[in-house]
Amino acid sequence: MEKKSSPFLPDLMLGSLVGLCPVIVVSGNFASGVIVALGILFCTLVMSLLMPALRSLFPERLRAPLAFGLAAAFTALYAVLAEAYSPLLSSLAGIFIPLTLVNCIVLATLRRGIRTEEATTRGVILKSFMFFSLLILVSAFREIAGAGRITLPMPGTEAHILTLFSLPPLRLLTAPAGGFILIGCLAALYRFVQRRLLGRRIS
Amino acid sequence: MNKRRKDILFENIAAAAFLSVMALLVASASFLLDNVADRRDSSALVKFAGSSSIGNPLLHSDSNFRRLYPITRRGRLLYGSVVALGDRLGQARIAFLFAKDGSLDSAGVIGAIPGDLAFSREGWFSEFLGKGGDFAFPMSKDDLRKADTVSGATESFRLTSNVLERLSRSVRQAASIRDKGED
Repeated sequence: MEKKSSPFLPDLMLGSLVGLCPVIVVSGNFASGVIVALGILFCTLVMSLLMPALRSLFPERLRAPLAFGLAAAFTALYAVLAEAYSPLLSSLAGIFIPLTLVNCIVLATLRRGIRTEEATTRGVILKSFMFFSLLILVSAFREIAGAGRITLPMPGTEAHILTLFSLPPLRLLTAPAGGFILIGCLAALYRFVQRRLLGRRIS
Repeated sequence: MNKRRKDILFENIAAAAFLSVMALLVASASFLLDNVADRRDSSALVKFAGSSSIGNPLLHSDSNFRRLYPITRRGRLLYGSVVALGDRLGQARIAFLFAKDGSLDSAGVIGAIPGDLAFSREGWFSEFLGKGGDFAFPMSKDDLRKADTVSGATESFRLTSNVLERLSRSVRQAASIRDKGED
């Protein structure tokens, strides 16, 4: 008989390889990684909290368009706030701030929220925090190792860059190919840990 | 109208009202934060131009610049704008001052984040200006594919020259409207 373990929340990025587009592109720079990660976290948290109210107020046929409209409004609001916080960092993140709306994690939140039987807000929030933390860590590592510096996400029009190495140790990491290699290595490590230490298999 | 139809109509109106409230929220936030951006740009231009006499901005819908400020410096009318420039070599915000005939008076970097490519690490913006002249290179997108244009500076030069061309045109238009108004 198959033994049922406690609810397992595989990491979306490393376990399911979901939401990789913004991760690969924006995580070459720490500040843009933080801006995009915060946007995804903001949208996911707000939508997770509002979806139960939306479910109780509106019939099922209106939930999907309303949920997308709501997510688009919050994404636009975040884009405006990011532009006001730092126009330079906002332009560095570029199209990936508006694209938060169609980020896989935000879409998963909407999908779960629309279906009443899958109301697992806690799980979605936990996964969003895991995605957020990982994106920030990957961004920091890629910029430090690949460019020998770290761009701080400070407000204002000026850039705050700390140069750590005059000669970057692993320049490949700033390129998209380097991002794929790093995510691949982390995904392999994640699977190894899951299999060896926790006895779980990720297909 | 039967009850079911009435219910559906009521639900649709409620959904439309809900989305309208969200749209109003975003629009009012944009309006408030646009004022912040206006103040930030004008103070950056005042600091750069060394003048405290700055007029109300003329609004533009260009992707690189949105406001054009008339500035008086030592009795001379100039037009200034804060421009966002960016490509794979990096992102920069630059203050430009133009004379009213559309010629560039001065330019200064407010903030820049260089890209992560090897050739964008050293002074990528400083090479934007000062290259070109009568025989600007690259003149077209085809030139960008030639072996001579491996330097990131030439690619950035083309981007900057396009923006400056549009900005110069806007300054000339603004100056001619102002001159007509004075006449």
